[in-house]
Amino acid sequence: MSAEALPLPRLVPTPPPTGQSEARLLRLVDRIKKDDVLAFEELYRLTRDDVARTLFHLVGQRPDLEDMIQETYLRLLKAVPGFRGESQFRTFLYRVCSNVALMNLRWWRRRKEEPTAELPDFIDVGEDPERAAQAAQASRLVHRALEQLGAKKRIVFVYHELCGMGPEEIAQIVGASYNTVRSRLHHARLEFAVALKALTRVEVSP
Amino acid sequence: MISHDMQLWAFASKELELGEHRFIQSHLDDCPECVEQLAAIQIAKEALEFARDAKPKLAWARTDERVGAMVEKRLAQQARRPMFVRLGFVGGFAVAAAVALFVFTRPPPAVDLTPPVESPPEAWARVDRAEGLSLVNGGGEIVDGTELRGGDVLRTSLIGRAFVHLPDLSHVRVGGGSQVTLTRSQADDVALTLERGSVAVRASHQARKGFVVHTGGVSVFVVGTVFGVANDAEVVEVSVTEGKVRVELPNGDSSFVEPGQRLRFDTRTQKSKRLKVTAAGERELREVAAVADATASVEGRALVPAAGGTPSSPPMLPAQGTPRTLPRISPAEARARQVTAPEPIAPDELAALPKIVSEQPKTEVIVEAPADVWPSLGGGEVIRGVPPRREAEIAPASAPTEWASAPTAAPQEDEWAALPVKSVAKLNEEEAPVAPARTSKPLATDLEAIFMQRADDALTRGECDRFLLGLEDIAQDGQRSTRSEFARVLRARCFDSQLRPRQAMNEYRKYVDEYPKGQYLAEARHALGQ
Repeated sequence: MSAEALPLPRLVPTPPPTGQSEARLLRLVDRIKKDDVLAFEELYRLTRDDVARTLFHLVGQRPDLEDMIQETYLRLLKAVPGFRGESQFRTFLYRVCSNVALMNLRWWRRRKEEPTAELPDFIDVGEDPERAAQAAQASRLVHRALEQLGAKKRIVFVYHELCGMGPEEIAQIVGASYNTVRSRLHHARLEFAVALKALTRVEVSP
Repeated sequence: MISHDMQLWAFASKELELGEHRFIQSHLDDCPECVEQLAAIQIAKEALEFARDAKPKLAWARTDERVGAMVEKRLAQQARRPMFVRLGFVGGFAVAAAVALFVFTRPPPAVDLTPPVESPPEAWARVDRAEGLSLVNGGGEIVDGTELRGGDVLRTSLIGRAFVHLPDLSHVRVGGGSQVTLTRSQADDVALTLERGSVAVRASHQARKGFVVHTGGVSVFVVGTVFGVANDAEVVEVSVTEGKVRVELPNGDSSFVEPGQRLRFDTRTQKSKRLKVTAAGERELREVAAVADATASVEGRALVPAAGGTPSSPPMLPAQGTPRTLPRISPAEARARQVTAPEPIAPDELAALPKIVSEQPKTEVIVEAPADVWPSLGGGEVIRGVPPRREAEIAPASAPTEWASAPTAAPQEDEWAALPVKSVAKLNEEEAPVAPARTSKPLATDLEAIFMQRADDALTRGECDRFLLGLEDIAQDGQRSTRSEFARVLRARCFDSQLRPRQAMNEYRKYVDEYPKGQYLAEARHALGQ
């Protein structure tokens, strides 16, 4: 390993831009609390892509992703009146997502079936076909590797590595301590690297 | 792979403090296993980097519909008062009763002769010339004459369309492949929310609080005009042929759209552009204007003012009664109807179309309008109308005379019951006998059996999706226990076959709750893992 310039410590990854300001979302939440249907529709429109992508990362390629999106918004609608603004709305939303994902992961585990079997290509090709093809291939590999992880470790890993959240925020989302999150993340990383290496070996060998 | 339990991933991500980073870097010089492990981590990170960009391909239109319907349902449930509120009312009533007891035991005070102020009647919108129209929150296809209320969600098939006459005397044409919510539907306040598709509006010149169409973050405010709004998920278009509308964009900008103009707003780039109204748009707007004119001439004769109105702006009620209960039809029945592609109606043809009143059922009741209801109708003047249809009141064809007593005993939930109704026996003495009310109840029951058979067949072919709504209707009917029991199981099996586990579990759970001794209990318990 060649020596490299000393990096600056970066403890908290930068979250991906959601495109929506927190203030706008909080205004919508206030309106939803007053039973404003239009506000909920707007909130849905603003957050649905983010929710879909997050759920997709959390559970992988599933035939019931639409059901999960519906379930997420149903839970959100029920939970919004209890949202007191003590955390960011984004954190609140991801907490709902993780609960829905956890339920789904456990359900599939109980069924002992392959949830991704015989599914059509589920990934949006986007505008750049080459980049999209790479993304699709990588996504398939990553999700297969993620299947080897336990549900809780998987959620922490996905939120950190794919959604770009820091351990503090993840701790709030999953309702665990900071150290628990760090520990889950550490073990998830080890298991994921091993699983992915095994998968790439299998794919390379004839 | 040998693991030294080093924080190699954190090292590769440059997350470590300086001391830890240096320590691992020096360790890597002496540990080939760790170097190998680090290489695997870097491959994994690269894969994650690519996977981060991947997004699922979803049928958003279907998902939007499902979430929209779910929200409507949830809000409708919320509208019902919770138990503690009801208990509060009971407590309040008890206190009021105690106070009343105290008051009535005292000498009676001077009687207040001021007449009670009557609340204005709830205004209804009506459907006209419907083709391929369904009510999302009502769960079935709806037909001409159906009355709608605020909160109803209308959906047209791709080849369908419908006209809706609003209580403020405005008219709306709902285009094919559209979904629109009547957010507010009052005589002085109308709000529509266009989820997708298009609407053409002929707004009346009546004074009101507001008339607004919301769509894709855009709000269109109007006073007396003909305009159209279209939303195809990425682009919202507002076209105007008469009058003027104010368009409020999501970024807060507001601008007016003049006649002949079409404002095109791209919801992705958030940019707007002014263009000319297209020929197709103009045709739709001409169509709604023509239907509005044709309907106005009919309504001028057919509407009578309701109690609570004033001579200058009376709340209008249809003289010919229209169904209060939404005339739903089962999916099997709906499929039996051949919905044909609508052809554009030329304005001169519209006037010749059958008028709304002539499309109503032939059964009539005759009511006497008391003199104090409306000055222009003298006491005892006779108004003809169709009795309101309620499922509980639908009588078999062999017993038409039930109408003679049913309306007077009906709950006071509509205007018909408020007016004295002559008995059919009396009518028979005065006029020719009224044709017996036709009911579709026996037919509907047969259709249900056929429908369930077809649903069962479709399940074996894995095509049961379209039967789900109808099965839910049957499953909710607790009186026909065997059939509703089987409908519940069919729904569960259908969800299971579609790999929709949450719904399947829900259905089985409902089954266990509803039929603790049911014949499919073993199946349900097995599915629930009990």
